[in-house]
Amino acid sequence: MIARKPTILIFTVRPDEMLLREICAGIEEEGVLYEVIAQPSGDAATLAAAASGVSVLGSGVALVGCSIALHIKGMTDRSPLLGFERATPGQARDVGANSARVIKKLPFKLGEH
Amino acid sequence: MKLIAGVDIGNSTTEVCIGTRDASGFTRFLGGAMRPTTGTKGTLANVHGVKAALLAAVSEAGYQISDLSLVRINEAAPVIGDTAMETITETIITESSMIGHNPATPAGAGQAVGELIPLARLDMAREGVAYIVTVPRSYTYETVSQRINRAAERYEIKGVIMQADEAVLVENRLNKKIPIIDEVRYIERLPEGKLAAIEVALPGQSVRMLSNPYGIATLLGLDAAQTRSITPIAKSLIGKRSAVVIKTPHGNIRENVLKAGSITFDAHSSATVNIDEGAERIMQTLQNAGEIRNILGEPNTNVGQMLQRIRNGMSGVSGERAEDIRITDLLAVDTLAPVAIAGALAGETCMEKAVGIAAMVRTRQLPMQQIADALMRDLGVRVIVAGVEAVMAALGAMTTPGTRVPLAILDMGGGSTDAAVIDEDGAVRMTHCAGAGELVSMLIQTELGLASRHTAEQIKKYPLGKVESLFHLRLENGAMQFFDGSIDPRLFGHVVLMTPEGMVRIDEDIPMEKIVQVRREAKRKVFVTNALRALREVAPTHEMRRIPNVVLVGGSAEDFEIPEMLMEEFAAYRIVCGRGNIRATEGPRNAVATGLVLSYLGDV
Repeated sequence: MIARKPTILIFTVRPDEMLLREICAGIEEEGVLYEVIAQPSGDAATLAAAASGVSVLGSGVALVGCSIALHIKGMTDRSPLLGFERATPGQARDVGANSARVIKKLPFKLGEH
Repeated sequence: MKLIAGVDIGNSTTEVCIGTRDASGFTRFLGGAMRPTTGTKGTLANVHGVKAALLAAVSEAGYQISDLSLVRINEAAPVIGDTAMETITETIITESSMIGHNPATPAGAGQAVGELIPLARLDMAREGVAYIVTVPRSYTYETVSQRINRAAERYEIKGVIMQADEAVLVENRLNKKIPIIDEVRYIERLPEGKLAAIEVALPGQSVRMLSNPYGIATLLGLDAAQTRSITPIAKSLIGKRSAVVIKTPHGNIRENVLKAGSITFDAHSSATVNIDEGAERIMQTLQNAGEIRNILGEPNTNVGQMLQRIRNGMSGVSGERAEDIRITDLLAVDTLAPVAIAGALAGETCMEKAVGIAAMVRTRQLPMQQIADALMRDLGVRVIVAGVEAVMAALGAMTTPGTRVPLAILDMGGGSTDAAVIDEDGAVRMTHCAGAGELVSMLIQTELGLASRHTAEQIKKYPLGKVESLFHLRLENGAMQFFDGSIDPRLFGHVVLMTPEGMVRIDEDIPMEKIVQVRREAKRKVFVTNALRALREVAPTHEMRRIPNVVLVGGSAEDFEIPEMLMEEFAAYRIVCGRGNIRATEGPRNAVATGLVLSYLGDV
């Protein structure tokens, strides 16, 4: 049997290390597991959609340089649920938290920073 | 052709009906309109609203203002209502401080006791003393966990209170597991050096030790008298996922304690009743007192101040002196209200028994003639004040298909619930009862502890749903609604109101079931009580069974659940009751305006 761990997938291309740490911290604080997988190329929106398709939990984040996107499996819209071109550390933490909260069915954290 | 307009200026809306009498002598209605009332009902500011409504109505019917030959304005009922709320219990005094809240992700579980010490001063700690560390937002979780790990080698670190939402992040990096509370906004209010007890509940549970007076006594070493004084704190922490209680023996807070007080009915047979005895007893005493001349509150008590506030508010509206204002009816309702706890560090409250009161005042006649004169100058059309409001409403209500005399109308507005009965001979009996939509809004606001009255008004008007995923929501009746595109992420996980303009988020974190329960109870307590009170008053020989038809009119008759509640209630009396449908087209609105047109055409 092939089983994948229930994780939120984070696809990265040349990621800003500090923002990546913040995304992971946001997910960890919510108590959900995650995996970071480096990708050869791509833009944040497309990669986030791809990550959400592979994630068992249906929640995917992408970090390309300093731009972040969050996508949920099943969303028909091509644009991501949340996206930041030049994310601040606070926005990165929130995206991480929200990628977990969407699974836990909790209200999002939006713009408290 | 002679066009007649009926105009009803209400507290919130101005309604117009246009009619004529055709060649064969039949009344024909040509149209109607509704606009918001401008200014306070009965003042000259109303003229703008009346003009707007008239214009809309005539143009809808394909005419112009100049085609009108007569405008008839209602003689508004000379009553105004107001509401107030007061708790029964006395002000709470304690010697301790507390924080209770529901962070989404606290860490660790169990309780801890120790002296409060800020993270920055950990190097001043003494050996052999138990500490609870307080951490402001400025530190990262890495710094916090490193410093606490280092300090824990020498000192007894029992727990952590954090400002940022990082409890799990810190706990995952600590060598020794301790309870950690996070999202404490007012971290700077925690007094250094004082003894504190913290508790984090097990998953799915709420705090056990700190919601129990003896639990607090055990942790903080309190004697019997101190335990008694911290009881309100324990009570306010029931149901919380985490809590902090701090022993501050010198933070004595003294406040004036006001008695709840009593109400005196100056009436046919005067009587006095204590507020403590509850709403039911108050209403019983009121009913037994007979015709009321005035209602007074005991001076220097909670209820005395509450009735004084109502008097002051009324004198602002009517222009009479507060001492001259006589309260002629009131509706008392048992409720719960949040009471601030002295010593709460983040504005925590506990729910205490309270009474909500709607009072009604008879004023001198409102200056409708002045409005009529101003309108006449403005429009160049003859304007007269005609007809008592309740009589006109009854006449208008009779245009509802399926009714016959004797017919009762129940006019449920914002400030008062009015009833009138029109019998076979055309004689009308009427009454006005204090308490209607505004009291319902107030009850919803206080019982749910809402910040704004506007939210309470909306909760009263619209059904609820909970956004369970980005693609669907569950409505309060259990039905699911699915969406093609994704729902606004700002609504995700929240309870929302299903308004005609779309979903509106409720910011307070209250379960949907609780809101539904409070909303329905508030409506029942006000409208069912008042409907029975008002109809019994106007029914022949005060027997409800002698009224065959009840037609519900007014703004609250449009509510999505009040008419059903009343129908269920009246079924016991074999009364046909339902929402009015004025002129078979207007629903429960426009009864007075329609009555004004009918009454003129009727007696030509």
